[in-house]
Amino acid sequence: MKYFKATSLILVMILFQITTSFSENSENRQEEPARVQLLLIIDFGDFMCFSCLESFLQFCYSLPHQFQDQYVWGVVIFEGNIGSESEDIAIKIVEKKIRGFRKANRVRFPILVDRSRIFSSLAGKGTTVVILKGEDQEIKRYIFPLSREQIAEIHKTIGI
Amino acid sequence: MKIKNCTLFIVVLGLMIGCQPQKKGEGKLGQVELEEVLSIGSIDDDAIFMWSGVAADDDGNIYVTDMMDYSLKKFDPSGRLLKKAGGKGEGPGEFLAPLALSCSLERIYVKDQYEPGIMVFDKDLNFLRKIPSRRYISGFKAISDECIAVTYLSVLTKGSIYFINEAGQVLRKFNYMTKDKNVMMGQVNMEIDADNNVYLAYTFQDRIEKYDGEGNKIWTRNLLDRKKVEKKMVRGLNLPAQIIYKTIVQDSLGRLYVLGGGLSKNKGRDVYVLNQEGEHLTTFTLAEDSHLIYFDSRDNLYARANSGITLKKFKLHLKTI
Repeated sequence: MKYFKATSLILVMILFQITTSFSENSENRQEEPARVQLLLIIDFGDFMCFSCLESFLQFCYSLPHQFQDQYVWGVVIFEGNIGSESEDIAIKIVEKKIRGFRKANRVRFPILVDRSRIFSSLAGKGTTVVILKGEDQEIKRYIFPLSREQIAEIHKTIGI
Repeated sequence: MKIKNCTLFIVVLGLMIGCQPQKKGEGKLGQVELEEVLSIGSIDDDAIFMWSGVAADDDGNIYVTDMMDYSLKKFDPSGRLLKKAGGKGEGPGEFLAPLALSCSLERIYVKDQYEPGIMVFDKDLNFLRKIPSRRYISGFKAISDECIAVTYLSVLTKGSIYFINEAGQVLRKFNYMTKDKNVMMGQVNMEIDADNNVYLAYTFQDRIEKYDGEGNKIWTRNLLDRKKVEKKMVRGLNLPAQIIYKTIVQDSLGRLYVLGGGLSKNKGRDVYVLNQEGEHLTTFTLAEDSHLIYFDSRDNLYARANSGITLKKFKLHLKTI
């Protein structure tokens, strides 16, 4: 529990940094952090699996546009050798593929590549949605594919 | 005198052997050099996000299926994007995961990974129709505008190749494997030449075969010392865990090029070159692993680079020994 609280505080700080460094949707974002943040940690390996991605996309489409614009972030995690020149190229390749995926699937929220390998520990076995809620930043995690009950539970938690 | 006669006999015999006409594609090959002549797609542009299938027409135009943006794209011989079609969906001309591609004189055929049947487009990427299929098509090759050779996914290993028309009707069929063995072992990659000879490189076996147009086996070859693929249990089925051969293609001289998979020395990069008699001429290695290779009508080789965001076109320089 202590580990998760410490991690959540670090995560909020990181999200603050990410928020201010975004140029793409920054004009749509509030300056103060919202009480609810939805973080989608996407395993890049799932891009080879249509059914894995489809569950993820259906969940994204279930979120109101305004909510996606303001409170949702995506981070892609992937395997590779940290710090190598080849990894730098690999990251750029992943970023390019994500760019095509976002556009083709009309994904509204920004998706970053986890260059610093911070988010891998938060992810479960595969693509994961992490809800940060409230002033004490309570964390809830759900691993894809999501059941209808889980989707309803998430919607209730984030108040939509 | 006897020695002189023997010497003369040997000389004459040597001349006779040396003057025999060279069969097409024969002769051991030495080093193969790949000269890159075109590269489409890079980190900095949006030409290709992840190509899965490739084909080229006789004018040098290049057709590509892109899995990341669910599209079919046409590039001119210089690599300039001419047109993009498709989009995500299950409607006419739309894709969920566009995979394999083949072209005939006037038609582009596309197989979606998650849809049965084959979609038919014209050279301007206009969707024309869908060739229906009740079974899942695992591989196909366009023979002409009126005929396509297909293989179906089969859990059992009774391998057959069906030649169908655009209405999906079977024109003819031949069986290449009639003994039941283990699950999935009959999956093949195929190439068909102008004389209707069929060349098969098995996906999960160290086995390459040639059949004539009547379905008679001409030869079988094993390039990897008959290494066996590992298997793993999945839902009660003992399934192969590695791919042995990924593609088989042919150049205009009849030479066969087989892309090796997980059991090759350089996984996904070794290309074995054989002549039409199945003799192994040489092996060369691509710079990066590729999921397939393709030859156009001008003997240019196409392969993957940069994890699929780049399509490279090479001219081959083959040196005979």
